[in-house]
Amino acid sequence: MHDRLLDALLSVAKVRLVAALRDDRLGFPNDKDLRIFIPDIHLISEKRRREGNFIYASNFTDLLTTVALKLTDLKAQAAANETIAVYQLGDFLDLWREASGADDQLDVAARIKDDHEELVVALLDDNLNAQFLLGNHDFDLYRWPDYTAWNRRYYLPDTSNAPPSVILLHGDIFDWVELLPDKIQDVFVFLFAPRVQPTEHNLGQMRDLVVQSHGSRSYRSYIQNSEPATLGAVQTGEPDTVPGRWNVQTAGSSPAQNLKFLESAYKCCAKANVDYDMDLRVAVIGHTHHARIATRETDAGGLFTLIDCGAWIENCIADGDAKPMPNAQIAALCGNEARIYQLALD
Amino acid sequence: MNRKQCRNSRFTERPMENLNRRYGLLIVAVLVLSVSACAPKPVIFVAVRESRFRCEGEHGERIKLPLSPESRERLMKFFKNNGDNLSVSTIADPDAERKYRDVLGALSDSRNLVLGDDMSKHIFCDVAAELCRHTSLFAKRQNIRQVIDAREKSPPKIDPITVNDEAYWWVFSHHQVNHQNLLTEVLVMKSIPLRMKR
Repeated sequence: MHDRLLDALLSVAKVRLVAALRDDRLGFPNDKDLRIFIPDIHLISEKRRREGNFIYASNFTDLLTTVALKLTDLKAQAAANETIAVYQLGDFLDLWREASGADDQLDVAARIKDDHEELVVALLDDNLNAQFLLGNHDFDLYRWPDYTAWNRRYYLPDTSNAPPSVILLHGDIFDWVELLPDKIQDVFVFLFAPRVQPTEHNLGQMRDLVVQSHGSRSYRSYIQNSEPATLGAVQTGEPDTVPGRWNVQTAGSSPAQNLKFLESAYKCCAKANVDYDMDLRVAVIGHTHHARIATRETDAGGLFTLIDCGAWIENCIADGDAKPMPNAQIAALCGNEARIYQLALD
Repeated sequence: MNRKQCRNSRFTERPMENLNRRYGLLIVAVLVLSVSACAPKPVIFVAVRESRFRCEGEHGERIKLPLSPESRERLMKFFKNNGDNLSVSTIADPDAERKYRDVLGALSDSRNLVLGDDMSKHIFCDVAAELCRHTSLFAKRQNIRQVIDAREKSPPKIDPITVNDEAYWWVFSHHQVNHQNLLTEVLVMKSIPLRMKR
């Protein structure tokens, strides 16, 4: 199924392999089950982009629209015994940049969507049935009726009662782990415990953490990365055959920035495994705008993997490239194999 | 104490009283402002009403804009029935023709369906200025974007523009055509009074 996705992407875009990892310890063995991850997009209205003097706008929104339509086709062509599910990993709409901080104006999200009609319609298409995570730039959407189905985390595999091995999060929790360690205890359970649903008050607590993390930042010059994210050894040509292991970041052989959140994610997942009887080995995130697969050995001799799916905003640079390229990444997980692709206009 | 003395003594006491009162008012004002700023604000949304109280096209679909003579007639009949499709009287609102003639006429002309560039404005007529040039029905009315329609599979992808004229909710769908936002469909339903009149 990975190859079918790759063919679909190649039919609409230039594709380069950012990273790949095939390993039985990923804990997602079903090769008839393909999960596709679209990271942060950070849409704002054109008027706001102009007036706010934001350096970065979302990259290649037309290409992303085409990709979404292609994924809808791919889903429609899936056999009855196959699963294809698409996730948007949060920060789809950037309420913070649109309204200078989250507020109670109920049309903030509506006016962003007005300006990106084709992309919004493609990504929200019932036939695509994309599952959305709330990010830190659109967390406030949880209060609005249109976004009731958007979640704070998903677990995989989700087709049996087996303890989940993969957690999908936006990833901003790892900011809190590192910056606000005392506050994290109050909300940890609502992000990691599969059977606990937050009350309105708990969600308010999470919102307070989100607000605290934003501080007084305006995000005019950048959101996450003042410099292009370093992707490492991205494949130069279009991928004919994808190796079982490519450009995987590990301690000792990779720069520190390519390992960001690996330890925090590992510790959170290890704690959740003990506290909530789970088997989390993989965390799939967005948030950092830095596409990479990073791994570390666990204390029990297993493998913990962080799949950071990148973004569709800001820039990145590959080893050996003369100049940066706009972030435009798609990641996928199927049959104990994870891949991240960098897309560009054909 | 004669009257003058009395006046003087009151006069000398006043500055302290005034000062206390001013501080008191200031504290109350600060408290009221901070409480109102911190208080959670309600999410405002519009819920689509039962079929009896809504005006739609032939098969339950929204009415296409610009209005055709048939859809204009359908809407006017709905208004004459006072927004109740099961009304026995066909002129439950004898004033409907006068009240709604202009807006239905305006909605029949595609030139009036063009929306402004700035969709972020909260007043409906700031967004639908062309339409509002031909009717005062929506003057100064708020533009609400969140609509819950339980008949739909999912929430709207592009949020409609919704306005209340006291008697009815007007739910307008819109769509970008050649970089212009146009009103494309309308659903009208009887409004529920939000406040009890005393």
